[in-house]
Amino acid sequence: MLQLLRSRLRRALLVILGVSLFAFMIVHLTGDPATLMLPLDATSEEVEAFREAMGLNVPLWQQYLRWLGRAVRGDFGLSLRHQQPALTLILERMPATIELTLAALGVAICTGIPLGVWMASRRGSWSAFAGSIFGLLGQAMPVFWLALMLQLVFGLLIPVFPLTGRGSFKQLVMPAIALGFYSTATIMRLLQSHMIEVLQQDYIRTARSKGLSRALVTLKHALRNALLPVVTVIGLQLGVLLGGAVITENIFAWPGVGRLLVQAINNRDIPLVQAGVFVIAVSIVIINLITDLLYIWLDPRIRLEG
Amino acid sequence: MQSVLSSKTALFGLILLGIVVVSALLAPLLAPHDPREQNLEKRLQPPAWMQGGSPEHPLGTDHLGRDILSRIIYGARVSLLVAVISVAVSGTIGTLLGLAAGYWGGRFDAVVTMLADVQLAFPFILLALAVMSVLGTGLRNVILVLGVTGWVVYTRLIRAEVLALREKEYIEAVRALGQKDHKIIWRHILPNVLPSVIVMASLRIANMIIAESSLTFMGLGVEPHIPTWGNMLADGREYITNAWWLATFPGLAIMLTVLAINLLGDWLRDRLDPRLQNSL
Repeated sequence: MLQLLRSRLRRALLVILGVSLFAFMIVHLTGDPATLMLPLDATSEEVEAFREAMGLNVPLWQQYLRWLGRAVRGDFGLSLRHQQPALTLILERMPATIELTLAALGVAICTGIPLGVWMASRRGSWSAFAGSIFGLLGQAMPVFWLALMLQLVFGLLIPVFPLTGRGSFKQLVMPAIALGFYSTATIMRLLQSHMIEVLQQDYIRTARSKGLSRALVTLKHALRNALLPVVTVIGLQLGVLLGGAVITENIFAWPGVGRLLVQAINNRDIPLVQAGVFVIAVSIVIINLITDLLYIWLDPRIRLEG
Repeated sequence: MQSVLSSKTALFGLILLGIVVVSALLAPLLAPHDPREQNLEKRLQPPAWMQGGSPEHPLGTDHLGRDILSRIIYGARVSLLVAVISVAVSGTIGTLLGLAAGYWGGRFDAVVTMLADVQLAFPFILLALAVMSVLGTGLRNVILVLGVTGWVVYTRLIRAEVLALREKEYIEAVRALGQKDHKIIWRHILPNVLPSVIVMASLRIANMIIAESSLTFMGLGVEPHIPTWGNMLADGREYITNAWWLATFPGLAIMLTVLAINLLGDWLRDRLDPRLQNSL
């Protein structure tokens, strides 16, 4: 168990190192970062001065080590546009993004799990068929289009929720649903197929023949086992949601990291992009690590072995 | 019962996708108007069945008076083109890496797995947006970015399958007979993993359509002057308060296309490789 833990941690650290290399390399994809960050009409003297100031004249690996050394201490440089430390700007926006992501995950879990269980236990019925159509549509709808349609229907036609912004619970509802809907469908479909599998097992028949009620067998005996693989998917969904938040935040003018990042990308504010991409990727590595450990802890077959 | 139902849904998917493919191929014949033809006198005309609409523009016109139906028909071209090419590129890269990593293992495998883990740490859309902002927008770069970044899912799937296949007796037997590695991979392993690749590729086409339209919607994808579903939605967003049809129909086109591909992909998976049911 301890050994497993150590190997997972070591792996996560390696991945973070890889992530840092990539975040650093983004700027160098086209060759010269100076031309990327400076306005098009910059003179060659200005370009040269900029290269000198940013340390772009030394070999790439030296630049990376220097960048990494600073990044480890939380220094990603000043945002070109805001003239403030890039990491501070990102971290300031983090709570809004976490709020939205968790709300969306809440929506997905609270709707996806009951729907999945229900569809598995009503297998073959019309309601299960309707449910599977719902699931298929959910997985076919782009986040940004669902967001626009929610705005259209519940913001304009029947104005129940404010179109944009953050602050009140009402403002959270539409972005959370738009972002979480895909995950609802994913969790629902996955749980349904696992539940159907589990419900055919011998021990379920035994439990039923003991005279336990159908509801009890479904919820206690079957669901607990069928949920196990879903845990992994929920962890993965958090990563998907963090990515989807980039788009959702922009449509609902939600003041989170995603919105800031897209602005930074449009302004070619490289230090801010690097800091944001790095912070999000590291968050995802950590989420995946926790999911992994949770899975090990939940599955007694693995937990007790080591 | 189940198989009838699934083949019915597959048939529905096939018909739906057929319509999209035919629209894309025969766009110049099918579209009632030139998708770029502007007519400011007819701007923001509602669909034909609404008051103020005309049968000349069945789904209405946009803010520049362009015909929405024609733009959707032409948009199918870009969506399918980008999706098919990027899936071909990423599927090839991913399968080759998966075969090599799974078969030879060792250091190469460690590096590939590591690369996959690193890439999976980036939300796809964020990665694509960041790279597009550096490379510059445009159809070619969209295909490039989607093609190059899409390999991971194939590699992970194929690597796992090859790991299992490698231990099979018949593989050991051909190896004992002195068969060369690349021939073993080509003749004995690839044919066994091909069904998984095909199933994965078919489902990934749907993902790529959504990815392209998302990038374009965010202004970092296909050039604004090319009629695409993503561009239409970006325009539609600006006019959502007074012209709902601008944003509604292109989104429906995306949803139905993706639905059709998913239905066919699910059917293909059940036919070719039922083991994948829970993993894809």
